[in-house]
Amino acid sequence: MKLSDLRQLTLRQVAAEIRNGKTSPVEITRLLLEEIRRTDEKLKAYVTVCEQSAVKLAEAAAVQIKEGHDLGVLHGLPISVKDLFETKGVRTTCGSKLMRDYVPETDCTVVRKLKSMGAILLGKTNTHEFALGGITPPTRNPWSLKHIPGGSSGGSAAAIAACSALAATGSDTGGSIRIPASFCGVAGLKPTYGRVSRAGIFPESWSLDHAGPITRRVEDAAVLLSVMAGRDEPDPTSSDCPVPDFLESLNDETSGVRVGVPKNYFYERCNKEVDAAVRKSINVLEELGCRTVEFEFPRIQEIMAAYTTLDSCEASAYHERSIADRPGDFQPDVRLLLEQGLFIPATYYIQALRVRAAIFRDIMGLFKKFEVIVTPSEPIVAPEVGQQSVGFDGGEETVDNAIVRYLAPFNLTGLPALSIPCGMSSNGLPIGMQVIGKAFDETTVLRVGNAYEQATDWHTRFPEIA
Amino acid sequence: MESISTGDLKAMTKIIGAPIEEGRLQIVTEILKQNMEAIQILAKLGLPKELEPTSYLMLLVGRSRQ
Repeated sequence: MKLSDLRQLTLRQVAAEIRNGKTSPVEITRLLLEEIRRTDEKLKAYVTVCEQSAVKLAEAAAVQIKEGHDLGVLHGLPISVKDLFETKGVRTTCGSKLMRDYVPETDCTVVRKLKSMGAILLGKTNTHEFALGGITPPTRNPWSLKHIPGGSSGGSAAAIAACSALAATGSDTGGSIRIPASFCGVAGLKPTYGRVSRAGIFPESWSLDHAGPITRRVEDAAVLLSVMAGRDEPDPTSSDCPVPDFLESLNDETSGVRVGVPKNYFYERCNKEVDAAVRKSINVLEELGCRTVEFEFPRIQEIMAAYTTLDSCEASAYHERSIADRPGDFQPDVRLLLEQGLFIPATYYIQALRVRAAIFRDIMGLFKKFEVIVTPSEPIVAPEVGQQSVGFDGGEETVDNAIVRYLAPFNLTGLPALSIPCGMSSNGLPIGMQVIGKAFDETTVLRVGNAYEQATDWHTRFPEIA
Repeated sequence: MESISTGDLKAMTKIIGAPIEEGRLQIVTEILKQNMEAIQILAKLGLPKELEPTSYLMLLVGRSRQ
């Protein structure tokens, strides 16, 4: 099998090809390792590549499958893991000098679950330091090496787009799965808060953090989520909501699905090409039988104030000791963020928690009118490396602010949100569309995202990295 | 809201024991000022008393059981 063949297949199709004898876990692993060797010096998506162990495990998996000890779709498939997730015996740096020599003694729950289904750890992907940013230096965007991949799960998204990863994990506190998914033209799912255990994943902000998959196809995200999801005792915030079969209804019709389109905020200060691409995508959903419902998104100013407060305070609280003991070891942008968060009054934090409940209640009330909401993932395409601000009609905005504002509301409310590619800009960069659902209704989010994907061809386009 | 000065921040570092170096007071003050302006709305909310800090998590748990 060639890489050009592999990248057109879903995980289930790859698994079928293995069982048909047309490929093997070893061949798949070697193809990906070869691609990493070919591209990663420029891309810098990986922090650690587990070459020897991955090949060994692939060999073992091939024997197990042949002998009938078949663990399912992921058995023998290499998975790339964000370097915020603890991996037993493999260093976990969190993108930080402070953690560069840290080697965990155990896997985080997500990795343990993936391995229990036979997945093989291919490598650890780069993250913005402690997930506290949306840039992920020094990783580059495979569509243009002059542009950022987004972050903080930039390494995972870049590797998926570049086909140097088959499937990957990410975490999302204010968009860190969906930002790079949008900028790199891949699928990224932030599930409902509590759907996936965060045990063994370094926190950015406990009450806003979510772990989820980053993949080439929506179906692959559903495959990964099926394994990642579920109650986990070491993470008391993990939900005991039953985990449905996310694949069962994935290809069901979307006829009659009501799609909420916000009249305010989400299409404001938005790049014209992004706006046009997302509106065209909504037309595609209408052609698939969906019905659009316009609505007013509530409490926007309160949402961003609450999000900013919770994120700042919780991140600063977590890193308070390190800021005192080793301030110079943080990246300058991260250090500044953490230092200012120490001074936000506790009463603001309490009010943020309280208004969060009001916002959640209001938005869940709105979900009586529709099944999903569709917005652009980002108001822009990937900025250039080093770019600090973006311009819109009537002014400029920092990149940091622009890249979170369409996404953070769904970290605050904990609602499931999927970013999928829905277009390309005139300068050849991907545009992302966000599909948001009710709490614990990843099934509908994935179904709508999958229907859109199958009706279009954005997911079949790949960057060529010279 | 009144503007925060580096003097104010220095006083606060003593009160809360925050480890900010003298040379960084200016830059931290600037970013804190920006953020405090952005989140000021939280100080002006008239939320009903039944909305508690833990209400969101309880609502989410409730949804998970539906």
